[in-house]
Amino acid sequence: MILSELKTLRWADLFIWSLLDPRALSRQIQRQEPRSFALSFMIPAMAAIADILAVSILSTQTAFFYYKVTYGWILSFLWHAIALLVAAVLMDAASQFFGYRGNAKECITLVNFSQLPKVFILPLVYLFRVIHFAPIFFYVLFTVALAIWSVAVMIQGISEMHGAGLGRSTVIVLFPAILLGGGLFFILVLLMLCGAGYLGA
Amino acid sequence: MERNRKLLIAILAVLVICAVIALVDTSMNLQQGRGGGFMLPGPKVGPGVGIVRIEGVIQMSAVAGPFSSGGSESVIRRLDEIERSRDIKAVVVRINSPGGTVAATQEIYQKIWRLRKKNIPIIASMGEVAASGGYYVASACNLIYANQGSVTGSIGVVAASPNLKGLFDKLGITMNVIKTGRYKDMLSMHRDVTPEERQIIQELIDGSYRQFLKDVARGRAMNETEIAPIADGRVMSGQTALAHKLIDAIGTFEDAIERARKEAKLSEDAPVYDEEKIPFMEYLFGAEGRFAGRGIRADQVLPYETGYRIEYRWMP
Repeated sequence: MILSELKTLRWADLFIWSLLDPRALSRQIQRQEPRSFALSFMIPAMAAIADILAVSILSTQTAFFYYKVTYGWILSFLWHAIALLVAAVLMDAASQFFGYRGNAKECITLVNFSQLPKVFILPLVYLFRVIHFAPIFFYVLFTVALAIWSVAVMIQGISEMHGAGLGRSTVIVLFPAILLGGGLFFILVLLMLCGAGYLGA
Repeated sequence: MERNRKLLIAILAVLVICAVIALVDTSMNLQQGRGGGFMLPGPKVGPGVGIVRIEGVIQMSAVAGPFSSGGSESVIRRLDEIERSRDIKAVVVRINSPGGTVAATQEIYQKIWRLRKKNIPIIASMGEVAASGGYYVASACNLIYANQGSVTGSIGVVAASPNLKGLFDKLGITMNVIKTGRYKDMLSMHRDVTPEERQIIQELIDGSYRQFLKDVARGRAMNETEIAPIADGRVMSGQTALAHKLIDAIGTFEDAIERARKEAKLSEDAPVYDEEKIPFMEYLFGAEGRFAGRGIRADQVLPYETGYRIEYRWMP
């Protein structure tokens, strides 16, 4: 059954829409044709290996490289998958706060597929490394650019999913970052206060 | 739609090929020992070579800056760390010093000698200058490496104090000195040194000189009579020092590290444990004392406070 489903290439549509039409992606996820939840976790796995290899081709490697592309890849994938899971759940909570219907599973699938642009970091950086033209600069530049692309996919997907305006869906998408960023900032301030108290006492 | 799907498959195939090429490329670079770009400093583990740095004038305690620790006490602390470390199997003492006070130099010498007696190979590596007390310290090591142009030697002792009698007379300044013994204000800067006082100081520095000679002879496994002809305070280049057997080889800091690895039977890529570059906490917690004396330069105050010092120091 899985093989026959693979042969239909209907799954490929999800990938195409992840890049070209996030609204169509969102509709497809909602229709569940084909089922995409499990498949969506392939994207963080691809993004993790692409990122590891992109960093590796930029730097001098030791034997640690072999650990990095095997165990490290699994670790990186798990880390990304859990981070995306938390982000998606927080986005879903934010959606419900705005009065939209909650559906964490669809949100997780959408967030996972939105990571597809990040896979292109490897060929893009490789190109600049081969021609020896500021590969580290372009690594940073493309990382930022592809992250923005991912966020744009998420915003449009959420907008389509809930029939919300782009402004509201932007707030929903940025909610986890604002929440976690605010929390981390608060922790940092407390740490600095404690540190100053320790040194001053 | 079918066309888009095929295009997507092609893109995925390109990505997979790209990943495989990157993997093979990196593996081949790794196997052939090639590499480019940056390298993140990894954690250093396992047996390796410890570095001790002796920079500037050797004295008991110097003021630590934000980027440097000072004084012979910090050198001894570092040697203590090395002695306690299970990972450090050999030591390279990097010396860039014209020497310094007798007691501080002797403390470092004794500490290095103690490590040497524990069968830890210790190699001295001379930088620009390792003269007088700098050489004294180096002589405690098993082997001494110097660059051809390193300035070394200057085996001898010096004591100096200013004589401002003429100036005091000119300005009409007199000193009221009440003392318990005739030599209590020996080497005062407001009067000439008497022949008796000169004799006492001479005996003092002669004693320090004999100790210098004895310790160098012990460290270098030579007779004092072999060293005495060139122990007249002269400085010499690394090349000349080699001819006089004051050093063992001409070589760089890297050569010294390599030799240390060899002496300790360590692998060629054994880690090098250099001392902490920024003793931030030391600087931070020593801040009060430093700020209390701000505006007063140490070199303005110390000669007046101490009057004179007896030093193993090259003073050109």
